[in-house]
Amino acid sequence: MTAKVPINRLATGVSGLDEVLGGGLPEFSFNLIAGPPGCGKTTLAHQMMFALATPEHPALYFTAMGEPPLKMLRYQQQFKFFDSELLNRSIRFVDLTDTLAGDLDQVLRRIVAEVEAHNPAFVFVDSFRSLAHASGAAGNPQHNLQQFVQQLGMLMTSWQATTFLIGEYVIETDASPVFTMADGLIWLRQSVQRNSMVRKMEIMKMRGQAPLPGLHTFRISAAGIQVFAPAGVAVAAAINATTGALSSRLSMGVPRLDDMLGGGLPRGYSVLVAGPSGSGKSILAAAFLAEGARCGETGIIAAFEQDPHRSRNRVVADLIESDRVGLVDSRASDLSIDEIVGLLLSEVRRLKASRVVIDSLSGFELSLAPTFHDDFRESLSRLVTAMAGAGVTLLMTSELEDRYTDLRFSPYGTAFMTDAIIVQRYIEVDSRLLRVMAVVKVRASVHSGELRLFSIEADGIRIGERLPDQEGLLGGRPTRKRASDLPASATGADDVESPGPGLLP
Amino acid sequence: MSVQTVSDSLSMGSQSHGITATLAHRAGTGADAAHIADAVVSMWQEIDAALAPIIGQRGVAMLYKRSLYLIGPAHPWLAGTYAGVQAATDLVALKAVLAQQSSANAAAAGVAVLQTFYELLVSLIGPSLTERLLCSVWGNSLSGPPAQDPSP
Repeated sequence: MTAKVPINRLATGVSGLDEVLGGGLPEFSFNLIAGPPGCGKTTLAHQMMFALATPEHPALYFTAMGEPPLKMLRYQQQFKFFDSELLNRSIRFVDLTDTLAGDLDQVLRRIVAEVEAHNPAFVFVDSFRSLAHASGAAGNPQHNLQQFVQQLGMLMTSWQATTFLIGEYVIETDASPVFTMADGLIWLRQSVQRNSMVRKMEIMKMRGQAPLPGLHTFRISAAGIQVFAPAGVAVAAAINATTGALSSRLSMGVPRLDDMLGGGLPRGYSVLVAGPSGSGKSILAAAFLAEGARCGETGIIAAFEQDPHRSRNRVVADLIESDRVGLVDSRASDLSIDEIVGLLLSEVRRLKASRVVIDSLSGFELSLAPTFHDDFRESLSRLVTAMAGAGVTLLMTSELEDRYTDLRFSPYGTAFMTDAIIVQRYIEVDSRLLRVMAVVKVRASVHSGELRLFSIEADGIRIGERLPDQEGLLGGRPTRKRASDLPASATGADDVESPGPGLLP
Repeated sequence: MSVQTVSDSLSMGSQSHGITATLAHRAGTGADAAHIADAVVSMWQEIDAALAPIIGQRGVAMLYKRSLYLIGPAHPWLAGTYAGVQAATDLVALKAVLAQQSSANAAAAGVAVLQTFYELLVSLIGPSLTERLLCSVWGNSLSGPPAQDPSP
């Protein structure tokens, strides 16, 4: 016989968990859900149980813990997944407290009796720790417990039941024999930094498959647990919404800017619009989305503003109203990058969007939980990669303090991550504050290097001429060139870095 | 008499949830206090059988005791039963004390303690889950004759 046994993988019903587990939960596996109090162990167990149990494949939930079953039922029914109709049909709760007075053999006999009576496909023991404690009274606890777990594991495997032991462990090396015996080890944590709390899950092992390594953030809401699989995986699962080839270019919606970009922004690129406060970054972003809508494309705007009532750009508001632009407006605190990417990708899928705007990176950084601040560059890099993977064109705005001594494009050292950079600056000419804009970078493409004046009119951004008779513009206080320095044709395009096809006159 | 009595006591609770109907059905028409006591106890046995595996024997006993406490002021003769409840529902004591009452008193107290227990459970785990767990107790009586309107 050369045929290997196929391992069925079950859908857990917990959003994102199947990806993190490495493709679902192996059937007949013997698993441990561990973590400190309040980290969501019982909720995770219940959510999986309500998704997995059917009348043909019922579940048995043994309770043996400090928390009385009445309380557990009282609180767990608050979740959407809790369906009272399933009780005593697909799902049976069994209280072991009365049996706990005896030794572990008695508990095992009781479990065996219930398993034989109901022939469950899924068995949960919550909490396993109480059993361990209860057994502590009688003689050699560690030995007894190990034997108990071994027998329980054997019993459940031969009964073809997928089993979960739910245990409260604060120290990870605690009760190690149990960890050795388990096929799967799901560790839940609450990471606290400053006054923010982020829930994290780690699949420390899952025999028979390759779980995604590392800590995965999750959130508990009325719908239950939602795990945020790493951005890269989410991309693989995402439907590529783009239609155009990468070689095609899209319009920014600002006359002349496309020419400066060398004929529009290549599709699938990420562009950073950097500039000081009030320079018109959001207006440029709005024009980008409006142009998409005009061409029949849909877009997404992610707004990470602290004040939800702050008035939004009219154009964008109208587009959101008509659902041609989706709004990702998560004001949930302590976001993780994977959660944000998940939110964005689900909107991209919903609207089949091709343009995504993040306005602004500063707001984005603020909305991340403090625990992620140190890794902001990595986070951003994953976001950009995820968006590129989804095939969308990404525009990000970045607040840039005007420093006239250096030419910086982003406060995060993120310039290298993006495919294109547009920079906006204020300059002072004749005691007036003027705005200039330049295309600093378009990866693998020719583009203009001109610094052009622009103004913000009622109908949007209007790009004007260069200031050929001024120099030192980037210093903020340009000076008039001496006449002898001026080239023969002052309005010529001689200083274009790499002349593009649609070069301005 | 007894059916009427049981229905009378309905007006105390806003919802009977089949408790009155089940009790009337089990005790039979014109039942005396002993029959009513039997019917009440049989319902308690079924409630215990339905709930104890899930919330534990002690869990049921505590709710039972609390129910007796809550109806205590209206039925002071139940005080002894209340004091006797320990780790399990003491149905022998309940049966004995109910059987000594007039049939009207026995029916009123029997319904009251069941009704109170039901409401207590609803306050803790909600109506739909309570109904789900206890439907086996009075599920069958719901198809029986509907409870009569209380007499003026």
